[in-house]
Amino acid sequence: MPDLDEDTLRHLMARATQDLVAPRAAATSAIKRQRRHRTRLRVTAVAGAAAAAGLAAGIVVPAVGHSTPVPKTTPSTTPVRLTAAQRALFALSEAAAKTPRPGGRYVVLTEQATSIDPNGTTAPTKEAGGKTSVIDTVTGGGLEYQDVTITNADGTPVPPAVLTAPPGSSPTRAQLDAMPTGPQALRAALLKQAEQQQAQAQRAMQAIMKRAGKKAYPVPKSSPRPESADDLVFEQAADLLWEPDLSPALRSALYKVLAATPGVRVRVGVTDSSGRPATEISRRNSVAGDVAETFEDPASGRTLESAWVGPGESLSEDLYQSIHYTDAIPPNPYKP
Amino acid sequence: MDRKQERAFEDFIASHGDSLLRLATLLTSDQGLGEDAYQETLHRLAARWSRVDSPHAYCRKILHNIVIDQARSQQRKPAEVQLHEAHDDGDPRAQGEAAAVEIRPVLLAALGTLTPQQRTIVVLRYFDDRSELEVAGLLGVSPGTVKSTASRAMAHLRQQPALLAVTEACTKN
Repeated sequence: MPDLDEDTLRHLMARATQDLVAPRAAATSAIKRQRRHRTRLRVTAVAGAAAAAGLAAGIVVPAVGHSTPVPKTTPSTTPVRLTAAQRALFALSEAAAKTPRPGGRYVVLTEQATSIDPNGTTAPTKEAGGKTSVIDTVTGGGLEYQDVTITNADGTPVPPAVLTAPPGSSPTRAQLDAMPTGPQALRAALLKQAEQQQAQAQRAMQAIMKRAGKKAYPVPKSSPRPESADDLVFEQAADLLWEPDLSPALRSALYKVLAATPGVRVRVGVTDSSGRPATEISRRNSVAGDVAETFEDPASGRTLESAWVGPGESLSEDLYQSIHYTDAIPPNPYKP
Repeated sequence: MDRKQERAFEDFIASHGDSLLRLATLLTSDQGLGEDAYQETLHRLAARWSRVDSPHAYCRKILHNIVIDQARSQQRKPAEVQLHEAHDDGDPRAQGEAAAVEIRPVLLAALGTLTPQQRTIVVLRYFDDRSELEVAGLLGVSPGTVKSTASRAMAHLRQQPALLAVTEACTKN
């Protein structure tokens, strides 16, 4: 009989599992479950925020480095000095307010996504090509036509697919239009939304624990301290800017909220990854250390590209190539 | 999760999903339970994606917790007959190069005879190539405990005739 040493066992375990391939639907299922939580929260948050929308609010510019929520403003004769970053954000706010939202029930988005993970233990998954998403602004459901060529780490290609998103996957136009458009009320709504999402995630975790019959799992404490209110507001605002169907007033207000959020960096005169003129807005998360970036069209105030730079310079980018509206669901543009 | 996070999550699963499923299968010593554990791990990871610094470490921790839960749950249930053992009726040495589907039932059955802690340590050390220090940190035990547990687990596996037969078949080819 041969000796069973560590190397032999390593070899056996690798060979015994080499034909096991994870179903791609598993990741989609996990994301959809999260989206359902998020959508429910958003609806709740929108309703709450709409109630708070009657509060008086104005343009507020905190001092540099001042990390408190937006204070209430009262008419004052004291001159306010804007930083260069704030001036750029107010310029975007003005451009967004002047850019009307096109009519049509369906938003058709052509997107390009790339990602690089230099720290992966296996070769990074490469993705090339594009996709066209169709969002129903009435139901929040939609479609995603894929024209991506995904190459797994082992070199096997993953064929393109057509994915369907159930109603509620995206916020509806009615939900977006119910959000406050005053900077102070909007900031409060975004913060509340973030806190509700965290609480929801916590409840989901507790429900899993309860189902498993345990009081608690020893979940690793990856974040020794909670994210600041400014971290949460920036994340929510950048996330909302990515939504294509915002009203001009809401998009305009989001830039004003960002102008009042400490730690936000703005670069003007840059280009997005496809070479279009852009204004870059970014902020480093005070806990995780990752940087979220969003690139805006200075002429229209619309979002062009969104990027996330994680630890170890891992990078994820989403680029809007085009956005237009229709009254009927368009056919698959990639199907011959 | 926002869209960027969803994309990052999908990228992580696309790159590491296969290895996570394989890890889950070995840790649970059962293909069906491994698939369930993998799916559950993804759901928990998605729920905490924006708060997790190291998805790999988090998945390992979750998988280990699931294995412990399953072991406790199994203790409360009547013993089940392993149907796949019925396939183990031939001599693997006569079959030449053993395929994954032939090795797997024997290996999983052998891993199933270990305690959950022993199995986790063996799989993380020799399949996932984690250092003793890493495994110790993950399980909250000392590196010495990892070393001694791995030695005892290896000694136990060397007492499994079917596993030794497969080992011989594999080392001959």
